Amino acid sequence: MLHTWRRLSGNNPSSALLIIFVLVCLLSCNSRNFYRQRIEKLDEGEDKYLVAAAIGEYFHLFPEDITQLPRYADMLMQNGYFAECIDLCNNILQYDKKNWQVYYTRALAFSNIWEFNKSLRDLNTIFTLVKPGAEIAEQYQLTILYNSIYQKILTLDSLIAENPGNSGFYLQRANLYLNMNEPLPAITDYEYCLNLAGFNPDIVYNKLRAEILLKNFDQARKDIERIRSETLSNGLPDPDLLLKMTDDAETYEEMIRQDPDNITGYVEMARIFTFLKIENKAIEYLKSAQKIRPDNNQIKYNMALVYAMGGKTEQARQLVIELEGSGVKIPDQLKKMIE
Amino acid sequence: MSEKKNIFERRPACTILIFLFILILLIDFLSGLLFIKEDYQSFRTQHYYYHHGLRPNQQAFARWSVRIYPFNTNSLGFRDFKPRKISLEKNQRRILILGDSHTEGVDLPFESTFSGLLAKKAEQHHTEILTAAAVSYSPRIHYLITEFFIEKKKLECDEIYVFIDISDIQNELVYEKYNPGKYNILTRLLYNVKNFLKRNSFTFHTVKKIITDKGKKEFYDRITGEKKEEKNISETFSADLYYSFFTHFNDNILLANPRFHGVGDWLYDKEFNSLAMKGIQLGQENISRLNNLCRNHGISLTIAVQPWHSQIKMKQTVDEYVDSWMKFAEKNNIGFINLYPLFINEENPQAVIKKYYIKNDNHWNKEGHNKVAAYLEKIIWE
Repeated sequence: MLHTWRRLSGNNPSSALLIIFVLVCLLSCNSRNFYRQRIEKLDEGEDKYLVAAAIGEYFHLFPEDITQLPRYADMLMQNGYFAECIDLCNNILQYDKKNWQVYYTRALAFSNIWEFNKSLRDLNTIFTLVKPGAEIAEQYQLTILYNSIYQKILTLDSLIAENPGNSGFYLQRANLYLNMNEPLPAITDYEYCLNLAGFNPDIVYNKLRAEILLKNFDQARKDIERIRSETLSNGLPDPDLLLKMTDDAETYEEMIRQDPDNITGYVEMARIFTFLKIENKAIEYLKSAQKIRPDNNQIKYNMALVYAMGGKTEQARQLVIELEGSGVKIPDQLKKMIE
Repeated sequence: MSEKKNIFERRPACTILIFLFILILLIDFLSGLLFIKEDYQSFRTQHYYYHHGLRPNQQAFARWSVRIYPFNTNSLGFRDFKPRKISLEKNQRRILILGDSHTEGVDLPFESTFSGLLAKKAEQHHTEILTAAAVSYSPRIHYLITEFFIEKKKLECDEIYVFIDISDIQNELVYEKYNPGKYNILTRLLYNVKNFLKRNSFTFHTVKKIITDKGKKEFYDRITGEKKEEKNISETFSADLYYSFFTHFNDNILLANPRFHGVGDWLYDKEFNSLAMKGIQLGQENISRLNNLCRNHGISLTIAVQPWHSQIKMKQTVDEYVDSWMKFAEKNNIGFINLYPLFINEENPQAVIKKYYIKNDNHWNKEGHNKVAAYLEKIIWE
């Protein structure tokens, strides 16, 4: 060993130092690779907590690794660890102030914890760094929309403080939470409203939409039974159809869980949420499908349809133009909707 | 004239034995240096007097959930901004904050915790704030740690704020049979040697680890229950801590009941309500002792109660738990702060949990700590 060392370093102190430096670098790379591989392996499983924890450790050990950390920030965002994602983005942006993707990830995380002003600030920063694509522009619009909904919620909070017995305020707030894709607070407010105002099938219908959004399928079925013998307002769907939708939602969620690359699950979930008039969620599913098959015209067509139904004619129009450019014949009904 | 023999020649067997012993020790400690991995709880320690606490003058990193965050302690073993010497004599108004994991500020750097924020603010008010809090403290430990520092160590202070919550009712039952070791040289020496070996001797560390892992496995095999939203405690990074607090609790029937480990719901569970009441009673007995101790030393005492998710969801600012402590404080002339209304108000309870609590966890996040600090600041200095 000593002989090999002498041969390599040539009895020269600077060569010896260089060799030690190279060895330390190699060891350090290996250590990084070990942690990276661990994160990749965990990411194949279902335990988001373990993935987030492994990322937490990587961040602690290699805070300057700005090549890998942006991806991990995105993973934390996707797995619902928003505060941790923001911490990680803050760190990356200290090293790389012009990384617009990290601003975007942080904007999404801020939006998810209802810090809409901070989210908009980050999106505005992106506009100064790059020409925004359709996705960022759409996120900007969505953040503005959610911010306005949230301001209404805050107003309702004050109204409820003054009139704690007014069930109408709880109902309004529940609907607003549902429009923000926040089923948990929505369900709480629907229940509170039902306690105050007594049984109302329309409120139970809204609650069951929130339950499906939360993937609480058993509770949704119980709610359907509660309204089965009641008369729903005009335009609300038949309980049997609702039951079928609930069963379908459970089936397709399981399909997605088992095979995240199978687009059928996403497309079908989008259909169910369109039926339940939760268009933002439907779009989310279609976007997930589009990530897997970016050039699939059927997904684009469905997205255009959902946008049009949700009143987002501009987004629908852009997709229709794109589809027509690819030779897809657009039905007149959709064309009329976006005129 | 015979030649002078060296020690090996005079006592060969003995010398070889001594040599071997020293060699084994050297190998053991060298292996300890190389192979005992510093974990993210290394700053915690068992304590012969107040059950468990924090090691003094630590500059470490901690992990509660997914985040790894800095964790420093001062010379008294209290969480602090950085390791520093704390004089036992006070030279300005001094407040001692006692509490459990909420007050320790799990998952956050000290600067972001309510006690850290208050400690920072205290500088403007010629006040010093010390935080004697650690995970799973409850009135029994609050009393013992105060007795240790005020009576044995002669730490001076003017006021004590003790933060309690629903988890204390379980802790009080668990610590009911715990008795502190004697405060003498021998106990302290044994305690220090044990701690030293645990952290430096590879053999001691390994044997202890094997025993602990076995006990932990048996413990979690017994308590694993079903939880929909949150992870089972055994699957989290705080699992080791949780297990270590049950070392003086031998009620296997209770331990095996998963609902025993969901202490947040005890008050609303018929089967556990009487146990909850017993926990409250034990807690109040210990706070009475703490109050007597404070009176003897001219220290004013204030109790603050904080809600968990289950209390927020119930939407009662004065529930059975708060009511019981409020009456107790009034009867014993102790200050009382109810933190429930900060989190139980016109806002949607789920929205409150999302905004002010760590994901799937009963502890406050940065915003929660900010809210508490802003509220307490007014009480302490206005």
